[in-house]
Amino acid sequence: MDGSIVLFADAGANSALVSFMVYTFLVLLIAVFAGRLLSEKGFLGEYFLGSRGLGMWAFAMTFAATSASGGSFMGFPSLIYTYGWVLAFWIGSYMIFPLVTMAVLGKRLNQIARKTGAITVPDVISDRFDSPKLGALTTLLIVVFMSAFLIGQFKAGSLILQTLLQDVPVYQATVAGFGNWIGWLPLVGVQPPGYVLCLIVFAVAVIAYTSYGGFHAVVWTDVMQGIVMCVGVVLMFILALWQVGGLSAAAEKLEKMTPPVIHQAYVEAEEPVDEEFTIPFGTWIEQPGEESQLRRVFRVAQAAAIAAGQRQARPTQGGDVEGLIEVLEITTPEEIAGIDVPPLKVPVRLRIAETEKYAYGDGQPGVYMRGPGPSKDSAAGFLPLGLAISFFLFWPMIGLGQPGNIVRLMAFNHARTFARATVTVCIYYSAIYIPLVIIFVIARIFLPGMEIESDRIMPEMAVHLTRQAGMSWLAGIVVAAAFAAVMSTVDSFLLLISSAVVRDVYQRHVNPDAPEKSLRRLTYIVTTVVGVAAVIGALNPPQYLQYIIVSAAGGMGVVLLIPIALGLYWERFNALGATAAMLGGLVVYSALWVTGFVTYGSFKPYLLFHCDPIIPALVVSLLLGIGATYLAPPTRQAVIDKLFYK
Amino acid sequence: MSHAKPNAQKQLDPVLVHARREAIIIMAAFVVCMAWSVPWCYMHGYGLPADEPVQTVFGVPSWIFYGVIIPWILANIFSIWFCMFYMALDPLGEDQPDGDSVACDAKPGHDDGGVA
Repeated sequence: MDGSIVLFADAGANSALVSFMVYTFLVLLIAVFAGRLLSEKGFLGEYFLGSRGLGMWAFAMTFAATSASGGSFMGFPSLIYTYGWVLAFWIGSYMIFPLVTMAVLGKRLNQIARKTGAITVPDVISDRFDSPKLGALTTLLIVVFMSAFLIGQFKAGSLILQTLLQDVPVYQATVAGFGNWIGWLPLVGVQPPGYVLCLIVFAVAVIAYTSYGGFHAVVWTDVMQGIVMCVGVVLMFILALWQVGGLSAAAEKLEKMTPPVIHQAYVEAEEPVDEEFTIPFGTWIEQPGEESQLRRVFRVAQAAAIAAGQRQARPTQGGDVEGLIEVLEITTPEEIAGIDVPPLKVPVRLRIAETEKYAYGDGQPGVYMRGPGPSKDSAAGFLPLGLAISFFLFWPMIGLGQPGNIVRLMAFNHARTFARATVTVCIYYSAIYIPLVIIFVIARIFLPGMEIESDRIMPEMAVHLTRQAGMSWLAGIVVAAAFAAVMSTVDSFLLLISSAVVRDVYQRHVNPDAPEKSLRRLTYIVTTVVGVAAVIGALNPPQYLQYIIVSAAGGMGVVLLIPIALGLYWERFNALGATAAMLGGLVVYSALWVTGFVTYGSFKPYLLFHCDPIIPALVVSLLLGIGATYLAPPTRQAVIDKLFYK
Repeated sequence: MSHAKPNAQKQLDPVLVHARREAIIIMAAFVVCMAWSVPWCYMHGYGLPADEPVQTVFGVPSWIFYGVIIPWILANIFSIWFCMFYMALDPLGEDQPDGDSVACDAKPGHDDGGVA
């Protein structure tokens, strides 16, 4: 076959590459325009806050896109696929999320930021409580939490890009060459070359446009990313509903579905093989069933190979425990009937050694249509009542305290803009989250056995739907939504950290009289250095990184929510109260994570009263904040007069 | 300066008054959403008999339809009404360089890099 034909054989895969390139080009173009704007206005206010001039669309889209991180487009679909309709309940508080996270603090925060000239979150804290020390503490906490976040998001960005491009022939060839090239490097050389390459490509694009264009570049790219995400979801929604024959048809199939069973098995050929035979990850294997079963269908969840002269396969991925290989067995008869298993070059048989059934939902038809949803580990199911209550509270409370959201609330231009933007975000979230649930519940029907790599369900489903529709080129637009989601979150985190360093550390505490020219130079340098440092961190990510990210998100909410909310609305609230609220919440939150680690021996929080740690932490933060306030005099009267009275 | 007067004699900033009232109403609306959604979903979607199919509305499990989708639509209608017809659209004031702010007056050396 001609090389060029191979190159363009799979339009679905190649469209991911093309869409990524077009998309990155557009993002960089936007940054160039934003960078030009910078020279005409006051630098720091413009670079970090867009001179508080965001209009309706820019404000709405930057808020929505920053909140919807990579998790919304990779992790959330994976959960829907794995646990079913109960995810609509899990995400239920998004029904009022935009109103709570925007309108509870928005107008007042924006007003105080205007009155004090604040352009960062520590600015607001420092000025409201008349306490540079508290501002410095806020800066420290933001830098620590956000750095953990940023490393994790860079890692996620690289993994998503890798996932999207892995079937593209040009990419595969490049990775092979790149692997030889970096193999000798310490630290870097031990990582998979695909990961390193995608990390560098992703990071260079994000760091370049964020450093050069600042907040405007971030906001405008957010607008584009927000539109891409919405278009991607709507396209998938229409195609999924059309191809499945309507939701009622999907419900009938889901009603019969039972969770898969996981086996540890020996995979054996009938005779020793002449040359090495590889069994890639995801290979389907079928064999005759017993008694009433027509056949049994399995999917290999661990790549393996049979060495020349041998009969038994050994895993080539993950650990090798006596040659056992993890396989997933499909258990729903209707699904089994529909799976077409291509014959293997070397026929193999499975000899099952151990079987692990779902702790909740095993053998229960319709478990994907009911609460609490199936669970591999928990006999109480995926979402028992206590966790359901906890999640309902969790999303809006976390959203309210995120510095990325808070800083955006300081950036809109008028109250009317704010009101309209809140409505826009409400509609936008409704158009994204409910369709996402429907699309990936349907994905269970189209793509069985994806539990082995459920994080890939988004691109797989995009490619499947568009290919079925005869429009493979559309897959690129759909999968672009996923990296749009990660990029739009990473860029704002990058800016948050660099603003904390330049504005809150350097300008406030090191050199208050720094001329604009040196601030400008320093800002470019710091944004770039922070980005590069995060890439270095992501090249060799610490163990438990994913858990650190999850806990960092909660930690940020716990640290900022009560001090900001009480600070805006309660004039008696003072620096001592805010410090107690901040540290008290942080201590309780950290203690519950540490207790969980000690109790369970793994990195997960201790669920006091079945609640996520942020709930008790916020309660303690509130009580300590109120109590400690009365132990110290109010904030200086001149400040209170300025901020609370006409 | 105005801080010589006791607070009782001064007029609270209207943005503060309106925003505080709105924040309380929004939190109340959030509690209503939760009070609807969580008990409804738990009572109608959990512990269903395995031998009966889940009832659906337009193909959506009825406990999700009435426990999440309907309140979601109503919450959106409320949000739109709240933002477009209830929220006070007070002027938020001119942006000040922070060097001019009272909050910063007492801190010598606290300067600004030029917020417009």
